[in-house]
Amino acid sequence: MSAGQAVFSNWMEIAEEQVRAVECAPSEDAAVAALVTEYSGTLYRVAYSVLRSPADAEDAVQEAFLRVLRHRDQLAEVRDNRVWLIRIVWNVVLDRKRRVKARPETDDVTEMERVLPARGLSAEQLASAAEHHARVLACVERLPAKEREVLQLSAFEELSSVEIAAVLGISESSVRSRLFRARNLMAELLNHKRSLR
Amino acid sequence: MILKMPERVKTPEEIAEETTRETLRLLAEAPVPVGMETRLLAKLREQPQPRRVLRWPLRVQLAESAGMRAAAAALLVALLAGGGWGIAALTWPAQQAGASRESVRPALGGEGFSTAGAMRTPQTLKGPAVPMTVAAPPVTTTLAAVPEAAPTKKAAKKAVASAKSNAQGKTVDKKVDETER
Repeated sequence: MSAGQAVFSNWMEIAEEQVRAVECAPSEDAAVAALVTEYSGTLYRVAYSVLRSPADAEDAVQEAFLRVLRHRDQLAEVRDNRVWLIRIVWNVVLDRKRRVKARPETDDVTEMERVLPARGLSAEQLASAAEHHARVLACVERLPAKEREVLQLSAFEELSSVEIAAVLGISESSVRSRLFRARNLMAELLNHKRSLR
Repeated sequence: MILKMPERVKTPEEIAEETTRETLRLLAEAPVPVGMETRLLAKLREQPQPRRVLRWPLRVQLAESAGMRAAAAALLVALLAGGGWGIAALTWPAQQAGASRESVRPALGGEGFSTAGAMRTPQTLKGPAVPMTVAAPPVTTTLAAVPEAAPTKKAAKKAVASAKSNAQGKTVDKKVDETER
Protein backbone atom coordinates (compact mmCIF):
# COMPACT_ATOMS: atom_id res chain seq x y z
CA MET A 1 0.00 0.00 0.00
CA SER A 2 1.41 3.34 -0.96
CA ALA A 3 1.71 6.21 1.47
CA GLY A 4 -1.12 8.10 -0.22
CA GLN A 5 -3.47 5.14 0.03
CA ALA A 6 -2.62 4.72 3.65
CA VAL A 7 -3.43 8.34 4.36
CA PHE A 8 -6.79 8.17 2.60
CA SER A 9 -7.76 4.87 4.20
CA ASN A 10 -6.99 6.39 7.58
CA TRP A 11 -8.92 9.50 6.62
CA MET A 12 -12.10 7.51 6.11
CA GLU A 13 -11.95 5.41 9.24
CA ILE A 14 -11.34 6.65 12.72
CA ALA A 15 -9.10 4.31 14.58
CA GLU A 16 -9.62 3.65 18.24
CA GLU A 17 -6.44 5.30 19.30
CA GLN A 18 -7.34 8.39 17.33
CA VAL A 19 -10.43 8.94 19.45
CA ARG A 20 -9.01 10.26 22.62
CA ALA A 21 -10.77 11.69 25.52
CA VAL A 22 -9.63 15.16 26.15
CA GLU A 23 -8.32 15.06 29.59
CA CYS A 24 -10.33 17.56 31.45
CA ALA A 25 -7.85 20.15 32.44
CA PRO A 26 -7.24 19.63 36.12
CA SER A 27 -6.93 23.35 36.53
CA GLU A 28 -10.53 23.83 35.37
CA ASP A 29 -11.85 21.23 37.78
CA ALA A 30 -9.87 22.78 40.57
CA ALA A 31 -11.29 26.17 39.62
CA VAL A 32 -14.86 24.85 39.84
CA ALA A 33 -14.10 23.23 43.19
CA ALA A 34 -12.69 26.53 44.41
CA LEU A 35 -15.85 28.30 43.29
CA VAL A 36 -17.96 25.81 45.23
CA THR A 37 -15.89 26.37 48.34
CA GLU A 38 -15.96 30.12 48.05
CA TYR A 39 -19.46 30.89 46.84
CA SER A 40 -21.75 27.99 47.66
CA GLY A 41 -22.88 29.72 50.87
CA THR A 42 -23.76 32.97 49.10
CA LEU A 43 -25.56 31.11 46.32
CA TYR A 44 -27.51 29.08 48.84
CA ARG A 45 -28.69 32.20 50.62
CA VAL A 46 -29.74 33.84 47.35
CA ALA A 47 -31.68 30.73 46.41
CA TYR A 48 -33.17 30.40 49.88
CA SER A 49 -34.38 34.01 49.96
CA VAL A 50 -36.62 33.25 46.98
CA LEU A 51 -37.52 29.59 47.40
CA ARG A 52 -37.64 29.61 51.25
CA SER A 53 -36.99 25.89 51.44
CA PRO A 54 -33.56 24.52 52.39
CA ALA A 55 -33.84 21.44 50.19
CA ASP A 56 -35.03 23.41 47.16
CA ALA A 57 -32.31 26.01 47.67
CA GLU A 58 -29.60 23.35 47.85
CA ASP A 59 -30.94 21.71 44.70
CA ALA A 60 -30.87 25.07 42.94
CA VAL A 61 -27.26 25.65 43.96
CA GLN A 62 -26.33 22.19 42.74
CA GLU A 63 -28.02 22.83 39.40
CA ALA A 64 -26.19 26.13 39.10
CA PHE A 65 -22.82 24.47 39.67
CA LEU A 66 -23.67 21.76 37.16
CA ARG A 67 -24.27 24.51 34.62
CA VAL A 68 -20.92 25.99 35.57
CA LEU A 69 -19.30 22.61 35.05
CA ARG A 70 -20.82 22.39 31.58
CA HIS A 71 -19.36 25.79 30.68
CA ARG A 72 -16.12 25.52 32.58
CA ASP A 73 -14.13 26.33 29.46
CA GLN A 74 -15.57 29.85 29.69
CA LEU A 75 -14.40 30.38 33.23
CA ALA A 76 -11.32 32.25 32.09
CA GLU A 77 -13.49 34.84 30.31
CA VAL A 78 -15.61 35.63 33.38
CA ARG A 79 -14.71 38.94 34.95
CA ASP A 80 -16.58 38.73 38.25
CA ASN A 81 -17.16 35.15 39.33
CA ARG A 82 -19.46 36.11 42.17
CA VAL A 83 -21.88 38.13 40.07
CA TRP A 84 -21.73 35.52 37.29
CA LEU A 85 -22.58 32.71 39.72
CA ILE A 86 -25.35 34.71 41.40
CA ARG A 87 -26.83 35.40 37.99
CA ILE A 88 -26.79 31.69 37.15
CA VAL A 89 -28.39 30.67 40.42
CA TRP A 90 -30.89 33.50 40.12
CA ASN A 91 -32.07 32.19 36.76
CA VAL A 92 -32.27 28.66 38.12
CA VAL A 93 -34.30 29.86 41.09
CA LEU A 94 -36.72 31.85 38.93
CA ASP A 95 -37.22 28.82 36.68
CA ARG A 96 -38.01 26.67 39.67
CA LYS A 97 -40.31 29.23 41.21
CA ARG A 98 -42.31 29.51 38.02
CA ARG A 99 -42.91 25.77 38.08
CA VAL A 100 -43.88 25.63 41.75
CA LYS A 101 -47.30 26.87 42.81
CA ALA A 102 -47.69 29.63 45.38
CA ARG A 103 -46.46 28.68 48.80
CA PRO A 104 -48.96 28.70 51.65
CA GLU A 105 -48.24 31.30 54.34
CA THR A 106 -48.09 28.60 57.02
CA ASP A 107 -44.97 27.20 55.39
CA ASP A 108 -43.36 30.61 55.69
CA VAL A 109 -44.26 30.82 59.38
CA THR A 110 -42.55 27.49 60.03
CA GLU A 111 -39.55 28.51 58.01
CA MET A 112 -39.24 31.88 59.74
CA GLU A 113 -39.39 30.18 63.14
CA ARG A 114 -36.42 28.10 62.05
CA VAL A 115 -34.50 31.09 60.75
CA LEU A 116 -35.21 33.56 63.57
CA PRO A 117 -32.51 33.87 66.20
CA ALA A 118 -34.05 32.27 69.26
CA ARG A 119 -31.92 33.97 71.87
CA GLY A 120 -33.83 36.01 74.46
CA LEU A 121 -37.23 35.16 72.98
CA SER A 122 -39.93 33.09 74.53
CA ALA A 123 -41.78 30.54 72.45
CA GLU A 124 -44.77 32.88 72.15
CA GLN A 125 -42.65 35.81 71.10
CA LEU A 126 -40.91 33.63 68.58
CA ALA A 127 -44.22 32.46 67.13
CA SER A 128 -45.63 35.99 66.88
CA ALA A 129 -42.41 37.27 65.30
CA ALA A 130 -42.50 34.43 62.80
CA GLU A 131 -46.11 35.26 61.93
CA HIS A 132 -45.21 38.92 61.48
CA HIS A 133 -42.35 38.09 59.10
CA ALA A 134 -44.54 35.63 57.21
CA ARG A 135 -47.08 38.41 56.69
CA VAL A 136 -44.37 40.72 55.39
CA LEU A 137 -43.22 37.99 53.03
CA ALA A 138 -46.79 37.58 51.81
CA CYS A 139 -46.80 41.30 50.97
CA VAL A 140 -43.46 40.93 49.18
CA GLU A 141 -44.96 38.16 47.12
CA ARG A 142 -47.75 40.49 46.03
CA LEU A 143 -45.32 42.97 44.52
CA PRO A 144 -44.80 43.02 40.76
CA ALA A 145 -42.00 40.67 39.74
CA LYS A 146 -39.56 43.39 38.69
CA GLU A 147 -39.84 45.31 41.94
CA ARG A 148 -39.84 42.15 44.05
CA GLU A 149 -36.64 40.85 42.48
CA VAL A 150 -34.77 44.09 43.12
CA LEU A 151 -36.04 44.23 46.69
CA GLN A 152 -34.99 40.65 47.40
CA LEU A 153 -31.50 41.16 46.00
CA SER A 154 -31.07 44.47 47.83
CA ALA A 155 -31.35 42.59 51.12
CA PHE A 156 -27.93 41.11 50.45
CA GLU A 157 -25.48 43.57 51.93
CA GLU A 158 -22.64 42.23 49.86
CA LEU A 159 -24.41 43.16 46.63
CA SER A 160 -24.10 46.75 45.44
CA SER A 161 -26.66 48.35 43.14
CA VAL A 162 -24.20 47.93 40.24
CA GLU A 163 -23.97 44.22 40.97
CA ILE A 164 -27.73 43.88 41.31
CA ALA A 165 -28.01 45.56 37.91
CA ALA A 166 -25.51 43.09 36.47
CA VAL A 167 -27.38 40.12 37.94
CA LEU A 168 -30.72 41.28 36.57
CA GLY A 169 -29.31 42.57 33.31
CA ILE A 170 -30.66 46.10 33.74
CA SER A 171 -29.16 49.53 34.32
CA GLU A 172 -28.25 50.86 37.72
CA SER A 173 -30.82 53.65 37.44
CA SER A 174 -33.50 51.06 36.79
CA VAL A 175 -32.46 49.27 39.96
CA ARG A 176 -32.83 52.47 41.96
CA SER A 177 -36.21 53.38 40.49
CA ARG A 178 -37.55 49.87 40.97
CA LEU A 179 -36.34 49.84 44.54
CA PHE A 180 -38.09 53.16 45.17
CA ARG A 181 -41.36 51.86 43.72
CA ALA A 182 -41.02 48.61 45.67
CA ARG A 183 -40.65 50.49 48.97
CA ASN A 184 -43.69 52.64 48.28
CA LEU A 185 -45.76 49.65 47.31
CA MET A 186 -44.65 47.76 50.39
CA ALA A 187 -45.68 50.69 52.57
CA GLU A 188 -49.12 50.70 50.96
CA LEU A 189 -49.53 46.96 51.33
CA LEU A 190 -48.38 46.85 54.95
CA ASN A 191 -50.54 49.84 55.96
CA HIS A 192 -53.52 48.28 54.23
CA LYS A 193 -52.94 45.06 56.14
CA ARG A 194 -52.64 46.93 59.42
CA SER A 195 -55.87 48.85 58.78
CA LEU A 196 -57.69 45.56 58.07
CA ARG A 197 -56.62 44.08 61.42
CA MET B 1 -27.64 68.89 82.15
CA ILE B 2 -27.95 67.14 78.82
CA LEU B 3 -30.81 68.07 76.54
CA LYS B 4 -32.28 65.13 74.70
CA MET B 5 -33.30 65.70 71.10
CA PRO B 6 -36.87 64.65 70.41
CA GLU B 7 -37.01 61.52 68.28
CA ARG B 8 -38.22 62.08 64.74
CA VAL B 9 -41.45 60.33 63.96
CA LYS B 10 -40.95 57.79 61.24
CA THR B 11 -43.14 57.87 58.18
CA PRO B 12 -45.14 54.76 57.20
CA GLU B 13 -42.83 54.32 54.22
CA GLU B 14 -39.81 54.25 56.47
CA ILE B 15 -41.44 51.80 58.87
CA ALA B 16 -42.43 49.57 55.96
CA GLU B 17 -38.94 49.72 54.57
CA GLU B 18 -37.42 48.79 57.90
CA THR B 19 -39.82 45.93 58.42
CA THR B 20 -39.27 44.57 54.93
CA ARG B 21 -35.53 44.92 55.18
CA GLU B 22 -35.50 43.15 58.53
CA THR B 23 -37.51 40.23 57.18
CA LEU B 24 -35.54 39.87 53.97
CA ARG B 25 -32.27 40.16 55.87
CA LEU B 26 -33.31 37.22 58.01
CA LEU B 27 -33.67 35.14 54.87
CA ALA B 28 -30.47 36.49 53.35
CA GLU B 29 -28.53 35.47 56.45
CA ALA B 30 -30.05 32.03 56.76
CA PRO B 31 -27.63 29.38 57.98
CA VAL B 32 -26.18 27.16 55.30
CA PRO B 33 -27.01 23.45 55.75
CA VAL B 34 -24.20 21.44 57.26
CA GLY B 35 -22.18 19.45 54.74
CA MET B 36 -23.67 21.16 51.68
CA GLU B 37 -20.28 21.96 50.23
CA THR B 38 -19.13 18.34 50.51
CA ARG B 39 -22.32 17.10 48.90
CA LEU B 40 -21.94 19.56 46.06
CA LEU B 41 -18.35 18.57 45.39
CA ALA B 42 -19.26 14.89 45.46
CA LYS B 43 -22.10 15.49 43.03
CA LEU B 44 -19.84 17.41 40.66
CA ARG B 45 -17.25 14.65 40.79
CA GLU B 46 -19.91 12.13 39.81
CA GLN B 47 -20.60 13.96 36.60
CA PRO B 48 -19.25 12.10 33.56
CA GLN B 49 -16.63 13.62 31.35
CA PRO B 50 -18.57 13.56 28.08
CA ARG B 51 -16.28 15.73 26.02
CA ARG B 52 -14.35 13.66 23.53
CA VAL B 53 -12.56 15.13 20.60
CA LEU B 54 -11.74 13.32 17.36
CA ARG B 55 -8.20 13.78 16.25
CA TRP B 56 -7.98 13.66 12.50
CA PRO B 57 -5.16 11.53 11.12
CA LEU B 58 -4.28 14.07 8.49
CA ARG B 59 -3.66 17.22 10.36
CA VAL B 60 -3.84 20.24 8.17
CA GLN B 61 -2.07 22.99 9.95
CA LEU B 62 -3.22 25.53 7.46
CA ALA B 63 -6.86 24.83 8.26
CA GLU B 64 -6.31 26.35 11.65
CA SER B 65 -5.11 29.63 10.22
CA ALA B 66 -7.42 32.58 9.87
CA GLY B 67 -6.72 32.91 6.15
CA MET B 68 -7.87 29.37 5.43
CA ARG B 69 -10.96 29.89 7.51
CA ALA B 70 -11.79 33.03 5.58
CA ALA B 71 -11.20 31.23 2.29
CA ALA B 72 -13.44 28.36 3.37
CA ALA B 73 -16.13 30.82 4.41
CA ALA B 74 -15.84 32.63 1.07
CA LEU B 75 -16.11 29.31 -0.75
CA LEU B 76 -19.25 28.44 1.16
CA VAL B 77 -20.78 31.83 0.39
CA ALA B 78 -19.89 31.45 -3.29
CA LEU B 79 -21.43 27.98 -3.37
CA LEU B 80 -24.60 29.22 -1.75
CA ALA B 81 -24.85 32.23 -4.02
CA GLY B 82 -24.14 30.09 -7.10
CA GLY B 83 -26.73 27.56 -6.08
CA GLY B 84 -29.27 30.27 -5.49
CA TRP B 85 -28.52 31.88 -8.81
CA GLY B 86 -28.78 28.50 -10.53
CA ILE B 87 -32.19 27.85 -9.08
CA ALA B 88 -33.31 31.36 -9.97
CA ALA B 89 -32.05 30.99 -13.53
CA LEU B 90 -33.96 27.74 -13.89
CA THR B 91 -37.22 28.98 -12.48
CA TRP B 92 -37.57 32.52 -13.82
CA PRO B 93 -37.58 31.83 -17.60
CA ALA B 94 -40.11 29.05 -17.08
CA GLN B 95 -42.36 31.48 -15.30
CA GLN B 96 -42.10 33.93 -18.19
CA ALA B 97 -42.92 31.23 -20.75
CA GLY B 98 -45.85 30.02 -18.75
CA ALA B 99 -47.35 33.48 -18.43
CA SER B 100 -50.53 33.85 -20.46
CA ARG B 101 -50.65 36.59 -23.04
CA GLU B 102 -53.46 39.00 -22.90
CA SER B 103 -55.76 38.46 -25.87
CA VAL B 104 -56.02 41.40 -28.21
CA ARG B 105 -59.49 42.71 -28.37
CA PRO B 106 -60.81 43.34 -31.86
CA ALA B 107 -61.09 46.95 -32.68
CA LEU B 108 -64.69 48.01 -32.67
CA GLY B 109 -65.93 51.00 -34.53
CA GLY B 110 -67.05 53.88 -32.41
CA GLU B 111 -67.20 54.13 -28.69
CA GLY B 112 -70.40 52.23 -28.05
CA PHE B 113 -70.95 49.35 -25.74
CA SER B 114 -68.19 46.93 -25.67
CA THR B 115 -68.76 43.27 -26.14
CA ALA B 116 -66.81 42.45 -23.03
CA GLY B 117 -64.05 40.81 -24.93
CA ALA B 118 -66.24 38.49 -26.97
CA MET B 119 -64.66 37.54 -30.26
CA ARG B 120 -66.63 38.78 -33.24
CA THR B 121 -67.26 36.29 -36.00
CA PRO B 122 -67.97 37.81 -39.44
CA GLN B 123 -71.29 36.93 -41.06
CA THR B 124 -70.66 35.15 -44.30
CA LEU B 125 -73.01 34.33 -47.21
CA LYS B 126 -73.78 30.79 -48.13
CA GLY B 127 -71.48 30.04 -50.96
CA PRO B 128 -71.55 27.21 -53.50
CA ALA B 129 -71.32 23.84 -51.88
CA VAL B 130 -68.21 22.03 -52.84
CA PRO B 131 -68.91 18.39 -53.57
CA MET B 132 -67.12 16.13 -51.28
CA THR B 133 -64.67 14.00 -53.15
CA VAL B 134 -63.98 10.62 -51.76
CA ALA B 135 -60.34 10.23 -51.50
CA ALA B 136 -58.96 7.05 -52.96
CA PRO B 137 -57.39 4.78 -50.44
CA PRO B 138 -53.70 5.01 -50.57
CA VAL B 139 -51.94 2.35 -52.52
CA THR B 140 -49.97 0.27 -50.21
CA THR B 141 -48.29 -1.89 -52.70
CA THR B 142 -44.60 -1.96 -52.67
CA LEU B 143 -42.39 -1.04 -55.47
CA ALA B 144 -40.98 -4.50 -55.65
CA ALA B 145 -44.42 -6.12 -55.95
CA VAL B 146 -45.69 -3.89 -58.75
CA PRO B 147 -43.00 -2.78 -61.08
CA GLU B 148 -43.69 0.39 -62.90
CA ALA B 149 -44.98 -0.41 -66.35
CA ALA B 150 -43.00 1.16 -69.04
CA PRO B 151 -45.10 3.14 -71.55
CA THR B 152 -45.46 1.09 -74.70
CA LYS B 153 -46.10 2.39 -78.24
CA LYS B 154 -49.54 0.74 -78.34
CA ALA B 155 -50.70 2.47 -75.25
CA ALA B 156 -49.52 5.80 -76.59
CA LYS B 157 -51.46 5.35 -79.81
CA LYS B 158 -54.61 4.43 -77.85
CA ALA B 159 -54.38 7.55 -75.80
CA VAL B 160 -54.03 9.79 -78.84
CA ALA B 161 -57.03 8.12 -80.53
CA SER B 162 -59.31 8.51 -77.55
CA ALA B 163 -58.36 12.15 -77.25
CA LYS B 164 -59.26 12.82 -80.83
CA SER B 165 -62.62 11.05 -80.55
CA ASN B 166 -63.46 13.06 -77.48
CA ALA B 167 -62.69 16.29 -79.30
CA GLN B 168 -64.85 15.33 -82.19
CA GLY B 169 -67.75 14.35 -79.92
CA LYS B 170 -67.64 17.70 -78.22
CA THR B 171 -67.81 19.63 -81.48
CA VAL B 172 -70.76 17.51 -82.62
CA ASP B 173 -72.57 18.21 -79.40
CA LYS B 174 -71.96 21.93 -79.79
CA LYS B 175 -73.43 21.90 -83.29
CA VAL B 176 -76.55 20.02 -82.11
CA ASP B 177 -77.07 22.61 -79.39
CA GLU B 178 -76.88 25.47 -81.84
CA THR B 179 -79.39 23.89 -84.14
CA GLU B 180 -81.79 23.26 -81.29
CA ARG B 181 -81.65 26.91 -80.32
